[in-house]
Amino acid sequence: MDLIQSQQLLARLFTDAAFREQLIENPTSVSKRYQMDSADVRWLQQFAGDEGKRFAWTLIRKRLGVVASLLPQTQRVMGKRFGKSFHEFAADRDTHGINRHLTDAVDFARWLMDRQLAEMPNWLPMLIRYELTWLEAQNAQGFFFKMIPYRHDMDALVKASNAEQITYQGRPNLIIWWRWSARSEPHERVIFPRYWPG
Amino acid sequence: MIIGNFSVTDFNQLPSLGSGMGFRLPLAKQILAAQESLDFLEITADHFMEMSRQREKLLDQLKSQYTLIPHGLSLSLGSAEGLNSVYLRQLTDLVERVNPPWWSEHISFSKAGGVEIGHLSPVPFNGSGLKALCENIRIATESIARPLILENITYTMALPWNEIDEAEFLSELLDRTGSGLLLDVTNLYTNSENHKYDAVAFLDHLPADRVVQLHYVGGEQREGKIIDNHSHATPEPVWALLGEVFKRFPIKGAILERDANFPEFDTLLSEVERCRATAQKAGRWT
Repeated sequence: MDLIQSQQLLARLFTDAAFREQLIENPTSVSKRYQMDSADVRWLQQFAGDEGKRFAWTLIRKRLGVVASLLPQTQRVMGKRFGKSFHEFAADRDTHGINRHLTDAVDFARWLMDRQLAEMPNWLPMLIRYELTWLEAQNAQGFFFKMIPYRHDMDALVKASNAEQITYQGRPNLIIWWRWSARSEPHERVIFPRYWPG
Repeated sequence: MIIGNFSVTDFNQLPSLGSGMGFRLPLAKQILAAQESLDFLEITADHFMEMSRQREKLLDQLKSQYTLIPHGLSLSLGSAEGLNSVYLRQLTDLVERVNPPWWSEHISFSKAGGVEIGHLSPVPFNGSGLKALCENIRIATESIARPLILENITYTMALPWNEIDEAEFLSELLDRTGSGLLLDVTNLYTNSENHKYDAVAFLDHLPADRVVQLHYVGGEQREGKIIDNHSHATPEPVWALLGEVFKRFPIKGAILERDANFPEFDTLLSEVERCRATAQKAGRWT
């Protein structure tokens, strides 16, 4: 096995849980594809076991730490479910580019929104979309503009979610995010109706 | 001086920078106010690429107050498929802008087969590993006309394709490419504990005139292994090893590489000061 092949193999081992399982359960198919000798197979099987899982877990933990800091309110509301969900999301997904952590957070937030999250507040998808849109503005490579009407006052909801009792905040508004170019800073503005009963 | 395809630097002629820390955005304000306590800064190159105007302003402000050493993360010098050429262009622009006395990257690969690992992964200590590194370093140093220093990384398991030990591999690599060494003392300590070898004996095999800069920081113990997560105070065994390094090598600069779990800023500065005192006790930076 030459260096190109061995590095491709290692890259998959480190980032792809399904591939690690395959190496343990059916090493013959992997060894044929990568032209490995028996010593290589034994080492890689050993690595794909506990050591490999530990290493992959460390890589995911590293990503999780940054993603949690980019989706702080979502992480606060979801608690331990956030980390568990991220491990599920990241098990066979790597990230790319200079802004890999931002991209990771955007992709994870979108993945979460596609999920039915049991035992979570019904306004959680709205909160995720709120944090996600801000990240999309930060990650934009050019002009960015988004306008989303919200049934709830997101700012008050976010502040309330820091309290012991998470309560439901109802006051409709329009949130606008914009960024003129990749070199300018993103902005956010919340517009409330002038008059609202209650 | 040119040897083979490489320009060889006389590292003794490089300036002595002293004791500094890695620049971290959450600590920006404190770092900008700490010029009397920090001799220089290391900047993570990725954080100063594709910059917004605000980030450019920050870089200019840092540059006006400190000598900055760009530290690359994603060049993947050990990739058999070739280094990351887009990243090289961006890194070249950054180094030109910052004008440092040297720049640094890792003896590792971080991408293969279209997969970005998200972590610095080891290159085998053999002829193929050496060949890939030498070729990529040749390309990188043709693009970036400043001395390059290369950092040693940690590795979870020793690769089965290793033919020589790490110290011999590093020496051969530095000799062939004319590069200097960024000796990560914490990584050396971590590997020596996890893989059971003598870290001080390792030092005796390094070329004395090539060890230019140091990294140090603390990790944590998990399931009997040390994890280099850069998020704890530098432990006493690493301080002891730093002492040995300063005795042996004419180090030009040392960087505290704390990434997370930040304590009070003064606590970080006290580590920077302890490093300075350790160097001065060994007759350096006086």
